[in-house]
Amino acid sequence: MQPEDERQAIERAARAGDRQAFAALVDCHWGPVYRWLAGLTRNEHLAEDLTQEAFLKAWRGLGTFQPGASFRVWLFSIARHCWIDRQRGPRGAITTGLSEHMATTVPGPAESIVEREGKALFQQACAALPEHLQAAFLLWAQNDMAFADVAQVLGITEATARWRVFKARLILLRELGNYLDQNPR
Amino acid sequence: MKCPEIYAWLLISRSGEGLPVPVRRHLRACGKCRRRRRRLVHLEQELNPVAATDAPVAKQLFLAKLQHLPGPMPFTASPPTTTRRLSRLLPVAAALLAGLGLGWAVSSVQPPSQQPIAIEPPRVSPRKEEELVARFVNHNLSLSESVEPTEQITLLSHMATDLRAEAFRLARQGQPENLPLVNELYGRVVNRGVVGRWFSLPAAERRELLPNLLKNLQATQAEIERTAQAAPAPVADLLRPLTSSTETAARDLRMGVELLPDPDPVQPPHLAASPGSAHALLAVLVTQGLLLAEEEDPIRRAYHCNAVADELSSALLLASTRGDGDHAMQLGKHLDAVMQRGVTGNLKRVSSEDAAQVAEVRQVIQRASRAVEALESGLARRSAGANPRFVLDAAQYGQVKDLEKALKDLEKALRTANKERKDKGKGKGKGKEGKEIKAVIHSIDPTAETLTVLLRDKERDGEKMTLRIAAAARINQGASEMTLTDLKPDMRVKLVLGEGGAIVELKVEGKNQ
Repeated sequence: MQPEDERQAIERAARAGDRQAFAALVDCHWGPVYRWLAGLTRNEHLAEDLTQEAFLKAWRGLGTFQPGASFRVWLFSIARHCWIDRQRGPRGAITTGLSEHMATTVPGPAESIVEREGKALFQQACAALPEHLQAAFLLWAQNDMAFADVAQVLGITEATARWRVFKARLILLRELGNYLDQNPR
Repeated sequence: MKCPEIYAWLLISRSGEGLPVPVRRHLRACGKCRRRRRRLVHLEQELNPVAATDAPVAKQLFLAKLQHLPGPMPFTASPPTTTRRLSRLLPVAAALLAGLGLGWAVSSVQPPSQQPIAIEPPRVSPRKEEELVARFVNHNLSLSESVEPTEQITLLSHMATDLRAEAFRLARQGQPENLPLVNELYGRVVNRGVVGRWFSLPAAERRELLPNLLKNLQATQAEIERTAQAAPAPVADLLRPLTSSTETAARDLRMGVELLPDPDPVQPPHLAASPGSAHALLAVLVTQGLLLAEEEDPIRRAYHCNAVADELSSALLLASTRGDGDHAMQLGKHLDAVMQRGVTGNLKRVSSEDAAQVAEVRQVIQRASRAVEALESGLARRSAGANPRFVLDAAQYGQVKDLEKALKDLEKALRTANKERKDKGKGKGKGKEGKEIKAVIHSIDPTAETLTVLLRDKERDGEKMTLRIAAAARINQGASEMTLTDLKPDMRVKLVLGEGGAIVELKVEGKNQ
């Protein structure tokens, strides 16, 4: 069976209520959704909550998922709505700013001071991006999404998605230009 | 391609994606852009480690919880909200109203979406784009009729102004994807078009026109700089090519540097817009406009207009598929104007008797005919299974009929040209040109090299005519050659007239000797 056929078969099975199939989907998409939400919320505990909530809503709403559509795009759209709902919700504004844990991810033994500094710089630069640019940029860069998919997840036009990615990269290069030049890979 | 265009390209491409040849070529030659690319690749590589871990504990907890959750809820359609209902009805309404000429108005109504506050999202301005296409169609038609370089310079300057305005509009509205293309087109119109046409002028006219051109370029430069300063930094970067093109044009004019001959005079732009879009049409109109300005041969001009007609036909089909009745109708009007004024108008100017050129004319007509057939069959397919009025209203159908009429006119013009050619061929020795005329010399003007004669003709006997003597005219009496000074009044002569009615052969009759 081709990977694409296999993927569709799993999605069909999950849609029919097969928990094992849905678990396979969770396994496949958990990381990308969590990383995206972590980037947006800058709070990993909140990102965990939102990821769980997104998958829960996805499980409950599998009946509304249109066969043939992209499950990934559908799932990310749910995650985006969870994030928006949380911002509007009774708990009010979400704590912004980098979580201490995320900002100081424990380095491996081989990780140099320069690499740690670089990572911190990247985190700061990404965190400093306006939220709407960051959302588009992370979908495009971290999740290899096409502009059309980014547009669908964020409920914008493809041209706007392209513009947001363009703008985000331009800002990041401006902020990180010196570091990138001084520390070539 | 210039550095800012390459930068814009790189910013919306992934490092692993294949780059188009012009971008690769530029990167090979430009260290600055290579450095920018390296930075972007580095940025992508650095990005993944930034992300936190995947929260495996939370995932395991969720998977454990999943086993005890109730199954997915079956799909039940909730009563549609007003917005949902509207968005579902929109395509249907658009299709219905397209036939009534209201398709465009409906298609421009979209449900409100959540938009950012910080950056103005791109707004599609169909009216602006339609107006732009309409202006460029007019520029092209004027260029297809203009042979005077000074007039062409004026028309090309209008094109440059419109392209500059479009670049500013795209920058203001945050639609950078088409900016590099518009910048490239602007550069071509200014450098290839305006400066190129200026070089084709005689030296005296060049000198006369130069101060005005330089003054205009200076004003343009100032305008671009003002706009760039007012724009956010990334947008200002994207507007830099306009400055660079204007500077190059001013420098070439000041130095009087001849443009190097280009083996392929006007290439299509390196950057492409979506097929059928206003910017794709714009690219074709500018490219063909530049070719028209450089071309004097009416057949070649008709050919370039045909290329524009092809592009308009494709856009018309796309518009009709989308149900954009008004837009399709507008494109139909442009198509009709291009066929009538551009193609037919230029073919009517063909006066050559050269068989090869007549064959070229036929080729142009055949190509136009194929375009009309393709358009007709395309429109017929679009309307299959539905009321054709939804897709193709009476006015649009009329456009096709008009095209057919234009084609008939073309064929008629060709038949007339062929007939004239045949008539001229048959008339050799009998008509005015090539005919032998009997006359008596009345007077000779050696300075003006003219001869006044009295005709000896049954119908026009005694009529006085003054004829120019061609430089290579043969004058003889019997076997002996004579010169103009040998001729005397009252000599009886036989004259053979050549092109333009000049005497090419003069035989003095023997008894006057």
